Amino acid sequence: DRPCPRSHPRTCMKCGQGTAALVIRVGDPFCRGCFREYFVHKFRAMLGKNRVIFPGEKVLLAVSGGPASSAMIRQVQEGLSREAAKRLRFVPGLVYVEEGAVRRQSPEQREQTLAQMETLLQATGFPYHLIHLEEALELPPSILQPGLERAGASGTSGPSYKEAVDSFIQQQRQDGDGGSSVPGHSSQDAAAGPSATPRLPGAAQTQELLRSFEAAGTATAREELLQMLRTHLIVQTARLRGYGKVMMGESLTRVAVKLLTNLSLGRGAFLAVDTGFTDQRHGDVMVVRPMRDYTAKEIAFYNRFFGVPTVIVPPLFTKHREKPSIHQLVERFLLGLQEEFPSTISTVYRTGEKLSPEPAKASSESQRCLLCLCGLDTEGGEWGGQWGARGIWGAAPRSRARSQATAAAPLSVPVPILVPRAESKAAYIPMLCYSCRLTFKELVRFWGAGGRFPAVMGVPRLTAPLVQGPLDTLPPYVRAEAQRR
Amino acid sequence: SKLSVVHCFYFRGGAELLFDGVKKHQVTLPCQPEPWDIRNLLKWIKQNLLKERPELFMQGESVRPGILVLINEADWELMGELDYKLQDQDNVVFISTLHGG
Repeated sequence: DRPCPRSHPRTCMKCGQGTAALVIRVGDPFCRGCFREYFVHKFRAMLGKNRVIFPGEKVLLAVSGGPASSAMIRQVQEGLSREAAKRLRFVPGLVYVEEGAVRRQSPEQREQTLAQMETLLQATGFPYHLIHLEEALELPPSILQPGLERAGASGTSGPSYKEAVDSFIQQQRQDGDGGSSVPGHSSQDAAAGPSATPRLPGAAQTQELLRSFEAAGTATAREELLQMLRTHLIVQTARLRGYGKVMMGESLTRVAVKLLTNLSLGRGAFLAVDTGFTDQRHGDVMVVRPMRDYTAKEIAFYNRFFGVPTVIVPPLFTKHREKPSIHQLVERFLLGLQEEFPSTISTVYRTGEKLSPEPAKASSESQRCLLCLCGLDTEGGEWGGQWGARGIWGAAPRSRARSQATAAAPLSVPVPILVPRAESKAAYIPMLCYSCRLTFKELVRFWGAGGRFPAVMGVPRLTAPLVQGPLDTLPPYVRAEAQRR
Repeated sequence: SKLSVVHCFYFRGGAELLFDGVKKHQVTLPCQPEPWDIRNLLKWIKQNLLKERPELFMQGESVRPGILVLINEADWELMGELDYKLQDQDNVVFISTLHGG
């Protein structure tokens, strides 16, 4: 046959012998065997390079049933089963958030998804926790406050990573390292819930959850709400069950999309925590992203070749003829560009790698966003000016808010002319970072039925916000924490 | 000569709905003067199997960015992509890596 113009040489570039099964990166053909080694090695290298997971530590794997988090489970299993010297040394648990209520699944479909997921989780032998998105309605307000970092976590005041590993190995030798130090055969956590397939939440709870989602004015805000509730549920589970770390399965592709999406959402100041390997905004629970070096393609092929089970669910619901979310648009944009320019996604990713989180500022509560727990970034600038100098707030942008007196933080919070009741929408604004303000407004229909700023002679003008209006579509824990502040 | 080609579609995010929720299709492609390459196969799928919203599966004459194609369990990039000439009993798999919708 004539060689096809767009084909690659069909021998593995690594071993030079095997028949290539796939092309990695821009043009590297790998055979199955070499690909498997490459894939498995990358996981260990990622954890080894970052050195934040300590031996014996409890790590909660957040699982969605999707390809990346399922591949992540497999890598943890692989890592734990290796011979002693190279073995991963932490104690894993699993958590799955069932989101069928907002993915247009019927109760029967939700039961079926749950059953499939429970089978998948049980097969690992790790303790697992199944929770419903509806349980976000019962979250405590404390989830919006960072917990105190544990003593010795991440080598802050405790032993260094190397010391911890060495002493762990010594201890193992003393104990006669017969078996593994992790529960290889235990089933679900005794406190994880009923061992039978958990039943679905009541219809009233599902309805209440749906109200929050349906109140969202845009697909973008709805997607942000879902991610927020899910993250809070996962972190709360970790906190309750004594897990100091949470592993999320975000792939390289997903991280690159998230980077540009979050930039578009106004989260430029927080790109490092949003997409980096570690995310410490919750204090006592650290989120890590060990799959961020794997492209979606690598994950899909690995799962296909090596039989990694997945459970696929429909996407988050959208309204009839609604514009796509920013998340979807960015994904479409990046993937489309990637076709013609195959280094697009990796370039975005590598640029993101150069971002490092700012050192933690004063952790005064008044400086943290109510929703995303990041440091407020709204001092001055267009938004500071708008709320300070014009509009309904009046007053000087440089004055301090009455309730705060922290000398260390000259955060300019505009002093309102009106003193909004704690339960008014406007009272939330000073507690939110720039992008969460935008999301919040789209979640509670801040601007009423119409839209945002109608321009008058090219100058955006504030329309009167519905300052007094229903806030009851916000989850209770958010309102409670806002009131407390 | 008749071609018997097994298609297995696995989609993420509910795209099975594009194919009546059916994950695996086994088809026999009819004789025609033009060769059965992936390009023509995609046209055939669009006309005969896709129930709705073709733009979620295809873009132009190829698959939508984010959809992987495996021919006999190998990356189609190794096989010539759209130009690959289908053989009898070939197995084609489409895997979506898209994030829903």
